[in-house]
Amino acid sequence: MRIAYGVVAAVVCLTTAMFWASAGGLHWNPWLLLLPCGAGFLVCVRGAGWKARATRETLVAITAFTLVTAYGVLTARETCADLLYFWGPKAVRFATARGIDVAFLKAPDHLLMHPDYPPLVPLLYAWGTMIAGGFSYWAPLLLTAILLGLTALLVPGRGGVLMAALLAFGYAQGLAAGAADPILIFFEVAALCALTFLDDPLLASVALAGAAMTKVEGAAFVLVAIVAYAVSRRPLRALAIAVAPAVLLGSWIAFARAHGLIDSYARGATPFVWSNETFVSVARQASYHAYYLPWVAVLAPLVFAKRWKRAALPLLVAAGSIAYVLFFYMHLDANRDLWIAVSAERVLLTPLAAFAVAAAAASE
Amino acid sequence: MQRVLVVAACVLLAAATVVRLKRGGGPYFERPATIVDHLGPREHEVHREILALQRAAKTIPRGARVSVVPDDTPHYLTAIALLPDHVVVHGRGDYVIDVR
Repeated sequence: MRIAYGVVAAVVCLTTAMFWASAGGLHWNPWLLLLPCGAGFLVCVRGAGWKARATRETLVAITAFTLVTAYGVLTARETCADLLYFWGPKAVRFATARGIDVAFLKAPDHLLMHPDYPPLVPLLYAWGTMIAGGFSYWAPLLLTAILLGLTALLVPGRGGVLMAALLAFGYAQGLAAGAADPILIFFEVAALCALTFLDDPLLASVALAGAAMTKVEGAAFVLVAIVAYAVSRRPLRALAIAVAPAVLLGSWIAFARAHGLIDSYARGATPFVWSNETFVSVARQASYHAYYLPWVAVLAPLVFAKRWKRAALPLLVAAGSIAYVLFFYMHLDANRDLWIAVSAERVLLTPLAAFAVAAAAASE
Repeated sequence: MQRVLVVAACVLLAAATVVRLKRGGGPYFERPATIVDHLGPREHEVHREILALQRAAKTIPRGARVSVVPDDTPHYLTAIALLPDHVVVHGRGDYVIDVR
């Protein structure tokens, strides 16, 4: 568990340093970037105060699910098309330019890559490209399996195995490998576990900052988690936790605005229209073509829960994340059906993961 | 009871994962040629393009303007990804790669 929190901080510190260096006009040196990365790792790996250790059975089971996912991604069975279309090209260009390539993002032909999309994923892949001396599509795929194992290790007890099983199926069915979703889920589960089990504001804040910089819906998750923490735990501390994600995301939006990159964040202007067809479409995708098995798997243990109060926070976050997923899909878009078909199974992993954390909290 | 439910859930999810992975078809223990080889029963829309671009990247001079046919969004973006040392353009480049 300590290592997983260390990795959370390392990734956030690394990509923040890359972004701020780029914003300041400095070219990246991949080896110098190891300094903020290592510092973040050491601070958070020492601070993660979870006392319980995973049992041997738990570790074996998590390793087994990690290996199944490694097999799936390395035999090209779980690849997300977004890796080819968005994340890969951005990473390659950023690594070549040794910075955020604004001209590449601004090119009208590249508008579908969403120029203002939070940059953590391409920055992380670009750093790996610079270190390795070239970009390999297999590296982000393998990273998906590694992140699955780390995400499962964040959840104490048998909950970690349930999380591993849930994500192994979810990533395979939703074709999530190489996309931003495994990284987003990693940050979200880290933040939820830091708040639920450790009550550690620093770890939670760092993980939420990572979520906000990974995907647009990461910002919505931050809002939901902060409100849920304020309602169920400590309101004032919730404000302090919000500072790091707000500063990071705010600085990225300011950077995007200054360079004329605003696209995704301007979509608030699109009208919200409730649509029963959209609701049915999302509900159909939520079945994961497996008779809603993931939902049954994470909700059934909650039926026999003993500590509902402790599970209140992740339950509120799960409910909130379902609400914002529907909210996003209810905005008019010419390709809404296609949009739901290719993304719903991935984005619904957020509430599923929150339910898995709630199941672990309720049984502890 | 809760332990039994968690174990049962994990077993069912594991079985569902194996079924999903099997859907991509064989061979099951050979290194795939591309990252989209086994995503489903049908060939992925950019599978042939990836194979063609991997060969083209070695022969077309660096910095050359390259375009792909068909010139739609998935094929264009894939070309950008796989030809980082070239300038991928819509329309007609110095080199045109037909991946149909």
